Amino acid sequence: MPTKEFMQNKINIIKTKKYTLTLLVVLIILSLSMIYVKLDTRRYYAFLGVNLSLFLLAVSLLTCTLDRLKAFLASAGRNPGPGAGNQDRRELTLSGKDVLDKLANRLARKGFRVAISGHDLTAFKHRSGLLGSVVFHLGLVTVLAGFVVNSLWSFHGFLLIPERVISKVPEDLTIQSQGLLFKSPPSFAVALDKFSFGRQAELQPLSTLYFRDEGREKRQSVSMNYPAKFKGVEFRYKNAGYSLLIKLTTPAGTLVNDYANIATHNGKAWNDTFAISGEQQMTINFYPDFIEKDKNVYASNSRFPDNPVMKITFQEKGRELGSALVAIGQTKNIGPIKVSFQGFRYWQELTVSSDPGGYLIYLGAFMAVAGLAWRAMFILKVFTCRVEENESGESTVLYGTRTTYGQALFIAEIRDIFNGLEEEENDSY
Amino acid sequence: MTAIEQAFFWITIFTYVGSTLGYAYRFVLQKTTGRRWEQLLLGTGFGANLITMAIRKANGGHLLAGLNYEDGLLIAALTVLVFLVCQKKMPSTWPLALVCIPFAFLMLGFGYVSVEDIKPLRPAFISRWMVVHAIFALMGTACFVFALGTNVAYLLKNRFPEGSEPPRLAALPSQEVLKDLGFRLVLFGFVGWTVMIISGAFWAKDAYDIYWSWDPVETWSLVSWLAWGIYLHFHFTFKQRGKLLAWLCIVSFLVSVVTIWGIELITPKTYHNLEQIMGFKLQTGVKK
Repeated sequence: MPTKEFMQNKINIIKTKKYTLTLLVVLIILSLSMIYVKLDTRRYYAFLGVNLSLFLLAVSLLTCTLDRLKAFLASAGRNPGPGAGNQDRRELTLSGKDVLDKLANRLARKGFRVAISGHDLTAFKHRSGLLGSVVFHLGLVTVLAGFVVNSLWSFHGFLLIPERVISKVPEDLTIQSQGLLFKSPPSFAVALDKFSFGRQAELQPLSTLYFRDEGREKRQSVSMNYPAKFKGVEFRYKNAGYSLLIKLTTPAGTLVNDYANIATHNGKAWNDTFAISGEQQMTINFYPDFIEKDKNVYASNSRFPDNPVMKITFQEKGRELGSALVAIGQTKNIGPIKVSFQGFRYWQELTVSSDPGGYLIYLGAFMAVAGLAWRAMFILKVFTCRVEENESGESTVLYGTRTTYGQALFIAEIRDIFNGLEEEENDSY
Repeated sequence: MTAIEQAFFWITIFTYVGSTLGYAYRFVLQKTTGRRWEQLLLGTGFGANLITMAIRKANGGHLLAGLNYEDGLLIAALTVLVFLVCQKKMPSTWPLALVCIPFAFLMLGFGYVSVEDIKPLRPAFISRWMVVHAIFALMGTACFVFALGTNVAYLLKNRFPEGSEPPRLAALPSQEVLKDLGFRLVLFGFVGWTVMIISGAFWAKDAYDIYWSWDPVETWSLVSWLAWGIYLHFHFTFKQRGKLLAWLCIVSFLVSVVTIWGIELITPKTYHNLEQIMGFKLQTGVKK
């Protein structure tokens, strides 16, 4: 059983700056090496070295933070004392008691807590500013805790969903990665109610998802930066395209009468190749807003379906059998095959994931910012003085000032107070 | 750029340049009295800067972000604002204008050479976090620029014992004041960059479903943030003051320069280059 001294020794090591700096350097090296080998982010977080370093860093931060909190609470309510600081003296044409009373008054108006004992005066303010540092570091630890929760209980995958088709979660979901303790996403149905590329805001894709779960229904819109959320599962836009309703018939019967997802965009056109029967294939080039740039050179003005036309080409064993341009609603014959372009709909690919640690991450982030701002704005200031009155009724003030930062500015502030006392005395004459 | 926007833009440039010349004249010739026409010019330039931004926003319909020209307008205004606030609170900091105002008009010039027509915001930019991220990033940068100026001034003055420096350096605030001011500016800049990193992470989560993906800009902003954090710890924990801290400020600023401008030069494949992140660039080949 480890002794108390052994444990205290280990805790002391964790609190040291050398330990924390070493961990930070290790993390930086791991991060830079990850960039160098172009490791996938999710594999990076799965790397044991990274998780171990982050955990040890969090332990160090937590220990240092609690140590400071303990020291702060132990000294709560007590005068922080002058400590090391700037010492100076000032001659004033006021009696000793007047100096103390007026000083106390001015300091109190500036928010100082003042105590007078005999010829001595002590004033301090913003002692709680030190807590800001504690809150900031606790916030960082909370953020790290949130990441740990996500790494254990979250999942990440995708879902391909055409318009007006109901998909089931989790059956139709493809899960790419999941945490060690993750079990299964909740069950519900989802459908892509409506999709458009959005003519405003330069092609911002907009879609409406329809969720249903045991009588409970909900509609939510999805666009880039604005995911939908249902039962703790988040849906984000990833990709979208067209599905063309095509009918191919031959004298022998119908070959195809279904939607074909056109998934690839080569920068000029949407295109894809599909197997039909045997070794026959068809390649479809789709132009949502068709124009003929030159003889046999086709393009699309935009991604919006203002003039949808497809070029369909049949091949067998690499040999082209025939091709034709078919506008929406048209039917054309290519050899023995009658091709009808009957309509289209959209398909959307969504990133699906959960974020169980999100609340901790948001809370930790808020704490970190609040603690930092608190620390920056509330500076501990301590002022102590002793007033010595001489025979002529004038006083000499021996004073000391101490602050966590901004010493010169605090000294200037105190000198302004003394100047104000002298001006007030001169005005009264 | 509309004609009226262009007019106010050039008024901004010329008044900033004129103001810099005025401050330089005052510094070189150690003039401490007389009409403060350089302050008047600076105030006019700041006003023109704000009007240019307002015209751009009215024409573009969105916050000024996304183009170098728009970023230049915003950061120039914020840098001058930080200087004006410091000068109001501590008039003796006026020589620092010789760092801050040239930085402002250089940012305007850098943006101007890459000026583009107003475009609607790309889908990736349309986020509730964009405003927070951009403003705090630029505000933090403005504070760091000013802190750099104070620390350089401190190092220049520190070569001589207090009270025996050459007259031009005597015009600067005292070493103690420069140290305090520099530290306080770094602290406020650090708060700004903390908000920048956090809001950027939340933005990335909304857009790409991941808080942190070690994108080059993300990585270097974290490295810069840690560098500034080390500066703060040197002050608070190691009780360092003086020259070491001043040099650390300069080093941390150089690291920040890599984050702000260097990364885009080295690799275009970052989140800050949104040509890479068009809303619906097809990536998968999915067949039914």
